[in-house]
Amino acid sequence: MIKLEEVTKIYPPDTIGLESVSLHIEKGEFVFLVGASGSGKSTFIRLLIKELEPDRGRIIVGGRDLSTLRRWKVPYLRRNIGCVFQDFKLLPSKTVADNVFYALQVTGNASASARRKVDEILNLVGLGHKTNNYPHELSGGEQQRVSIARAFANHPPLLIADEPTGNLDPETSAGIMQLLYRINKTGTTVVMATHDREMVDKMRRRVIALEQGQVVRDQLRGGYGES
Amino acid sequence: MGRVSFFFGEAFRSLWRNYFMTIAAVVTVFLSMFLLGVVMVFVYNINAVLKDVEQKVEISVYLKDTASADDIETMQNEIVEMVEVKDSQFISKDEALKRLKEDLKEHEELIKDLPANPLPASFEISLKNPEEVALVAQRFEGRPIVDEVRYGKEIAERIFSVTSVIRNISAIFVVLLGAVSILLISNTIRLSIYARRREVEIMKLVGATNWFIRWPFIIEGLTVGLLGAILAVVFVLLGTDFVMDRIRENLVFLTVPYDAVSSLQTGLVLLGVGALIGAAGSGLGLRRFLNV
Ligand SMILES: Nc1ncnc2c1ncn2[C@@H]1O[C@H](COP(=O)(O)OP(=O)(O)OP(=O)(O)O)[C@@H](O)[C@H]1O
Ligand SMILES: [Mg+2]
Repeated sequence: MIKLEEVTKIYPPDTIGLESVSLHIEKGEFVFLVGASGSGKSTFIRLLIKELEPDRGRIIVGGRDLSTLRRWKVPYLRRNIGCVFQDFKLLPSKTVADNVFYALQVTGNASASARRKVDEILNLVGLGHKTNNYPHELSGGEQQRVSIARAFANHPPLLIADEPTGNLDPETSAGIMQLLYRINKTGTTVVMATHDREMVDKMRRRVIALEQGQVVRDQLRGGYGES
Repeated sequence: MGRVSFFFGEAFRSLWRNYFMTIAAVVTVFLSMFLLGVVMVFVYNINAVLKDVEQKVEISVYLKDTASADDIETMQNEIVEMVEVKDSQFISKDEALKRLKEDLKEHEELIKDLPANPLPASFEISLKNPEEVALVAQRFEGRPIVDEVRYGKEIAERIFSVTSVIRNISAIFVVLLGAVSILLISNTIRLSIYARRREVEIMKLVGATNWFIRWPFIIEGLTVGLLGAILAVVFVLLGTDFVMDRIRENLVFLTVPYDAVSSLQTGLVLLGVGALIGAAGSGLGLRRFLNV
């Protein structure tokens, strides 16, 4: 699903984002990306959706080499990658339902069945009763569930999340993790950057640890810290 | 819901939501299009008056009341013989008065109580080549039966030099104004897009193509441009009507050529330019934020 070969990203003039990272993530995996602040987790995620270009190396996502992917094709790449962020990134002027619907509309799917699909997904994340509210009327945890619903609306093969629980209390975080876990169960590959030590230790999934842009640990059933 | 109606819905929702911004932009377009319209009407009229004057380069030879019928006939024959003359006409005192009465149809009281006909008889001579006016006019000056020779050339030349300056200034004014409007509007729209740059960023992350993001903004700009232009058209047309009526009432001798065709032209030009400015403004404003 994801393959990195000697990927290096340097922010001008000389800040290291990632340095010679090579790794391979299989279809259907659940991967935690851990590391101190500034270790390169967000850089990694932004490279995957071609929001950033690497200075060296090759990135292959879903069989597509991102370095040769034409600029106008980037939107089509992103429709196959669900994205969840710490700050939710919901459209403030759209209702909950319209936010999720938007992800379907950009693919040209604005049918009545797409509308029903939106309701289904919102029910699935437990927000069936808030479809007509605006994002600012929701709690942080609810907003994050909307953004997960949106990320999952197209049933993408890959879902990446950059600290999706970073702003949430432990209990709400557990609910979000539960959602991501269930999405992973449907076959979607999930890559999640996080600082949440407890969560990572409990889940016992593959852990990739970064330090100053380099992979310092890649463990199949790892914990947050060394083990 | 189709794609097109979605784009229009997005555009109108956003116009409605940011109504203050919308009003400001519409007023901006209105002001610049109104000025453009006023300048257009002005230039159009100047041109028409000029053309009128240009064609009126003819010679009037006014005769003394003492001139006999014989004298007049001799002169008429002489005029007809001249190779430079295209056309000539003798206008008797009675005819001159009749013409004046026709011209002043609505203001008859001005000449109702004249004790005697004060108007002179005259020859009106038009030439094949307006440049020979001075030469031909000279031949009549100082003759015993001639009271005065008048021809439009001096006047026309003076008007030409003044109006060509006005015409050039107006042209520069129109171009400058157009540029200023585009800048103002693209700036207004850029501001509204800047306020929504985060939204644009999110749309891109969700996988929207540039055109999917662009269309609502373009429709927004187009709507603002059209609204402003429609207002401008209404005001310009009402304004010209009003001003022209005043002119016709008070300056009876001036022929004012403004008509329906030029109103239509002015209207269409303003609408077209307004719409174009709006669309171009949002297109320009968007460019920076789509390169994410
Ligand atoms: N746009 C940028 N321009 C310059 N330097 C940047 C930029 N974004 C990140 N960096 C730098 O790159 C390094 C890696 O940053 P990154 O955001 O990937 O870290 P992170 O692991 O996500 O951190 P956090 O846990 O705090 O989110 C840091 O040193 C950071 O200062
Ligand atoms: Mg980060």
